[in-house]
Amino acid sequence: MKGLPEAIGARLPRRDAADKLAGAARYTDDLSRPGMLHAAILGSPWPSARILGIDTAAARALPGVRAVLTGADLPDRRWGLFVYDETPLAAGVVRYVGEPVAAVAAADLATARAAAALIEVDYEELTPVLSIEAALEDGAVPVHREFGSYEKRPDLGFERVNEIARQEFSEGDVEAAWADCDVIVEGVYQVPSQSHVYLEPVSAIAEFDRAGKLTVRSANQSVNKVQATLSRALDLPMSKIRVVTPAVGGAFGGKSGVTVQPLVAHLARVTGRPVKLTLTREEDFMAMRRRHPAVVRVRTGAKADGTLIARDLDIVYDGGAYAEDSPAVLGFGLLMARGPYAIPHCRLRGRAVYTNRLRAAGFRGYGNPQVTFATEAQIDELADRLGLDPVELRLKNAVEAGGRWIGGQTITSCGLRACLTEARDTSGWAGKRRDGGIGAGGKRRGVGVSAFAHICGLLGTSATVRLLEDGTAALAHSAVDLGQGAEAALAQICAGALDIDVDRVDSAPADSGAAPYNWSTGGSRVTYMVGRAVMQAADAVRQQIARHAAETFECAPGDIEIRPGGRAGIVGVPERELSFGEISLRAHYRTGGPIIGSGALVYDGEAFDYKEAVIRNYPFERVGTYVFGAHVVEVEVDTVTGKVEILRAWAAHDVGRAINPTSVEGQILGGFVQGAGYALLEEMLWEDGQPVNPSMMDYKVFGALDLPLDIHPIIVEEPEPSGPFGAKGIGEPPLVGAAPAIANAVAHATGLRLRTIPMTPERVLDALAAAAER
Amino acid sequence: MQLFHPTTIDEAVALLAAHDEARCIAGGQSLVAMLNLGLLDPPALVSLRKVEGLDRLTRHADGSVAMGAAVTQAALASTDLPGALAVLSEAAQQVAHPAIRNFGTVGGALCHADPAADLPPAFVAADARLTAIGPDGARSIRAEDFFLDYLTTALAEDEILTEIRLPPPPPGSVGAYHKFARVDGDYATVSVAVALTLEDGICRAARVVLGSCAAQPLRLDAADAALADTQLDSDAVARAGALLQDSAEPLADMRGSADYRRRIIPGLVARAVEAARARSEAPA
Repeated sequence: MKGLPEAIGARLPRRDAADKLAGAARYTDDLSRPGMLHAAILGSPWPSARILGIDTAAARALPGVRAVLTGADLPDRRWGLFVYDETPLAAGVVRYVGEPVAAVAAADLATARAAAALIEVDYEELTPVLSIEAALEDGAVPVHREFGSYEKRPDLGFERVNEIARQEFSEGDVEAAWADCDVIVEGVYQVPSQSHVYLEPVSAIAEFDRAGKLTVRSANQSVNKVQATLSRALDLPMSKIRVVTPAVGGAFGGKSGVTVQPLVAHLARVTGRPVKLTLTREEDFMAMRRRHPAVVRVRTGAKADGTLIARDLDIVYDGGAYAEDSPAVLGFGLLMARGPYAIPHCRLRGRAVYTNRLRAAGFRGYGNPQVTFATEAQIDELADRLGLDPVELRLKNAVEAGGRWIGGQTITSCGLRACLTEARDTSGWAGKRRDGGIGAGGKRRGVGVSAFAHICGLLGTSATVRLLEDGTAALAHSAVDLGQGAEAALAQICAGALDIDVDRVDSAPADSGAAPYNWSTGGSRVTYMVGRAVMQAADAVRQQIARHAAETFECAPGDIEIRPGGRAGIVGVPERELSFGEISLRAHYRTGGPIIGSGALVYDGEAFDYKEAVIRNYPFERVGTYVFGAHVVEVEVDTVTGKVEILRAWAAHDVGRAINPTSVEGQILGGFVQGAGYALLEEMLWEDGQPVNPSMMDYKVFGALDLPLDIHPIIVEEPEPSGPFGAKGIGEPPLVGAAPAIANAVAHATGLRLRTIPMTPERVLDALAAAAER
Repeated sequence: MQLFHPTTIDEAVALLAAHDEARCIAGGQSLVAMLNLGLLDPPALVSLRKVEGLDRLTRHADGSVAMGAAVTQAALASTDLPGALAVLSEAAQQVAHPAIRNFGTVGGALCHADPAADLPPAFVAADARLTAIGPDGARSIRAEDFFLDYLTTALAEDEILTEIRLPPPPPGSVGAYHKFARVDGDYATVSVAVALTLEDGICRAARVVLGSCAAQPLRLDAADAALADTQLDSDAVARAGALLQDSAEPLADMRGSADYRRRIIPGLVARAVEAARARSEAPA
């Protein structure tokens, strides 16, 4: 293979970076439309209650108020990803504190908020379901009495009241395999509800034109998903809906479906005016989305030599009040529950349940962080029992390219071993491992490791590349850039495929009216999936360029080569060449028409093998193209306060090919930091169904001063044959591996295994005190 | 809500007296947050930003310090103060974030009287004297008499805190502020402000004050006495920590349970005392 084009692997700055630094980037809330009204919502004070009546008279009477909507004013058109259980405003009952019950549109925001506060709602409180246990107990109150009547995607597998889904991935014979194990570890692990805390709270502006076409500008991860859901919610054909995305201030999965767009569209429809709704931070905390908390029961067995033999895992995810992405989060967690190890006997089962708390949804890692926290703890617990080095135990069992994932798919590329050895060797693992528990001033040091996997291939996408008259290119796709650098990476792939400078590739922000379909910016899939569509589109353009050149030079298209810098010429004849500009002018004005290439695909990796594995109710027949990583983290545990401080971290990730290494490193750092918050700090809490920390005052995230500069991203490149220039994904894995490596480091420092995160100072101190009493 | 911009203290006092439940606003870093949260809805705000001289910080030759109530936390944070008064700068450096310190004033933080805030325990440790001016003139209040309860001070409704005076720190005095918080910029889970007077390795006087451990900054004569005339050996420090621990009545909130806060008091007191003592040994 010849060398890579210049654009591939280039550390190019983002095109939006200067605007963002200068405060010039325009987010949805920065925008205004002529005649625009401002909206406010009123949230439920109860976790479960029947709405007996709503008095909106005082709100309507307030000067400046243009509309007040309640659930009763809206058509009964529900939406959802798997269970159609969602409405824009509570319909008859409320199911979590903060659920929008009424909305106001007014001439200004202060009036809208004042009017919302004047709405009087008469509730009859109902018995809420406030925990996983309560949801599943005999005689449990159903969170959705109407569940049976909802439209659903088939095969969710629910059996009991409040079960949203029940799934399984199993292989081999677990029960028989325990007899072959020399050591078995068993534990129950609890993981918290984490808030997305994107910097930009949810915001949307909706307006109808006089022909009845709806335009919605909003923070989202997929213009196409928003368009499709609006179509269902408003009973409008998709041809009458345009969804545009201004700059997005982070999403992490929290904006992957619709948020407030249907509500704002209804307000625009009844007022005939553009309407904007931006949630306050507190409203966003209370009414949007969160990571599924979960309880994980795991048992893992191994031979005395460290060969992993069997695993039995049972997980229950708290899905909250609405089903959202719970069935897919559940199944994906199970798909990751064997870990990146060849364990022959596995029974991996799980459920997602309704409770009267905020809906849970996709969140960076998508069910994987919950599972991996538990399973990677078990690998260390096994290593401890077997007297083996944790890295060696992982290397011994690590999957390899050509091996099989649970479910039977072939692993097409795998840099796991390289990740483990790189993280081990650059961290000085062996020395740090010897010195576990040592420290001064009441502090103890430890070092821990994790190995983990994820996917980057799923669902459908498309892209077009047009050659402009001057020979530069215009790339169109719908991979919304959430701040992570998708736009830059895809432009680099396009530039690489055409072998031109990246400044000669334009790409427009996601707009359902202008760019082709993409399922979502999510699942760590944009570089790999959309990148492949861009490759296809650019290849089609190359072919047309070659045909024009061949016609001009009167040779066969096969004799034409594309040369770096946007030229096409005859192989072996350097002086016989045309610029892309010359070719594009020929196409525009003489023959053939403007050059346009398109690419489109649905994930086309191997399907699951339903004969090799028991796979129950997983909603997809294929997702895959596995990615791998390994983290080593060094911590110091303060025995006075219980605080865990991260001293240094090494995060090695197999990305196939780093299209833009700077962006890859940014993803690794950001994911690790968010994962450190999950491990040590972040937890949304409720008391009697009431959220107790829905503000940035009470819910903290780590900032620049809380973590060390010594977080070292390590890029491992094991090219993926199907990927664009070999690239795979990186968005989520850096979060997945953080908590287990930190917990393993804490165990190394203190000898204590904490099975509940976040490992807050108080929890750590409690564990130290309990150990001292033993 | 009316907003007034007096240019003199007398004018400001008159405005407060004339408007029931009016509030002073200086940097607005606590008050505006309370307004936004709907916790306060005063009919009038009296801004102190145009009152002359309130932002002056003066170091006198005898080591005493006088600072106007509107000195910003950032200004205090960047001022080198002699001896034990270093506890004030050190506490100011740890208030929230730079943007907040740039606006937030020393007087505002004291008058807000949040027991989890950084400046109140530091000013009690430094034995500050607070000057309040009301319709009947000026009076001086010791810092430890100033904080009455959660968000409650000794100021009358029509009094304004105008100046804080710090007596000259004795020779050999050292100070330190040790804060334990969930993340940088958060309120303290527990904080310890310390002012010690050392003489040849013997502690002649000590003031140890806890933040976030009661409705107001917590100082105990007995705990301070436990340190006095000792070499600050670990037994003495542990005794002081245990006394403070026994008297602490911390709130439970997202930063920690009351029990947790109580448990970490002795260890944090030891660290704060050690940090202060280490200063006396450091080369000047």
